[in-house]
Amino acid sequence: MQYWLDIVGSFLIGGLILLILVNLNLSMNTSAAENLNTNISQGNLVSTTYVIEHDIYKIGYRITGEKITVADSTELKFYTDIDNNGTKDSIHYYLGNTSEMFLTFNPKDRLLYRIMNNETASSSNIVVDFNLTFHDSLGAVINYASLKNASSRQKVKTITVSLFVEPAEPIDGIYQGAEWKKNLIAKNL
Amino acid sequence: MGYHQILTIASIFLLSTLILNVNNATTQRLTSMYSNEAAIDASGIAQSLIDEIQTRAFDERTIYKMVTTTDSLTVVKLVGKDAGETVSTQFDDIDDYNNYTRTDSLSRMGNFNTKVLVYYIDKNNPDTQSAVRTFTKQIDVHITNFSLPDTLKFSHIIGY
Repeated sequence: MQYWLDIVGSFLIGGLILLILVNLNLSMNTSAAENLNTNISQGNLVSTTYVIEHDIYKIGYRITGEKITVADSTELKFYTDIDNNGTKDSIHYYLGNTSEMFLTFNPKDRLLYRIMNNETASSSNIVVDFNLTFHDSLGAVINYASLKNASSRQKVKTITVSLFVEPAEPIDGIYQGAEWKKNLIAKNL
Repeated sequence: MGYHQILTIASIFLLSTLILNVNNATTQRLTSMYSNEAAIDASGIAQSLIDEIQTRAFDERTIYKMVTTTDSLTVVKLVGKDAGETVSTQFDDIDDYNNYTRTDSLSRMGNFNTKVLVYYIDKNNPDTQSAVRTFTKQIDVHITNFSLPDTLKFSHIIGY
């Protein structure tokens, strides 16, 4: 009898140890995937912000007349001489629809478009949210309704850009995202 | 104590050590992930503030006229905001931001507490604060956040 108890007991303990090891392995895999997803999100975020900063800092460079033509919560169109060749360039940022990214698991991801000189739309990056806030010289927020008028757009001195990115696939049901917010002061506004 | 019991205790000890090490590594990885994101956010916040400060005049005395000697600048002990200036939109020169504090809140990473120091430096010895007026000022932006392992410091030098 003692012999059988030893065998059953050792099987039970061995099984439990095996379960612990499998669980350990699973959590290590989850953690590695989370880490990878976060690194990808952070990399996407940094590369997107680099392009946005580069463009917005140059709003109005070598432009006389109207510099910002569209200013809304998720859309911005402005003129600048981005390549410093003496020719006026237009740059248009806007958010695409979530339906365009129907092949990904993330229901909120969408393309942030950057169009230069009315060329064919090309995506800048995949984001979850892109929000713009416009401020005058005193730092007061200019409301979006009044930004439809050119006279209000001329008052814009600072643009606050908020960006949120998330990976296409969740890990354990969670999308490991990354967020960025910056006030950009274009020297020519 | 029998041979089998010693073996069992040793194997439990080894297994526990393995689990603790894995948990430790996972926690460290998570901490590093969040501190990376906080550092990206902090650099954006610091750069925003430095951009804002750079739009101001070099000194209270250079707002409306040009100065040619350092004796005309604000004296070292008076570096800071001037009378009647309570909010940053009223600041008209760089050193008004000395000891200025601000809290920016982000939905993921929480509050970022910022403190600014502005002081004169000698352009030939920029690592130390100058006890006398010079035509060069340094802006230090210190940022803290619960996900940052330490205070981040961003510095910017502005010359007149």
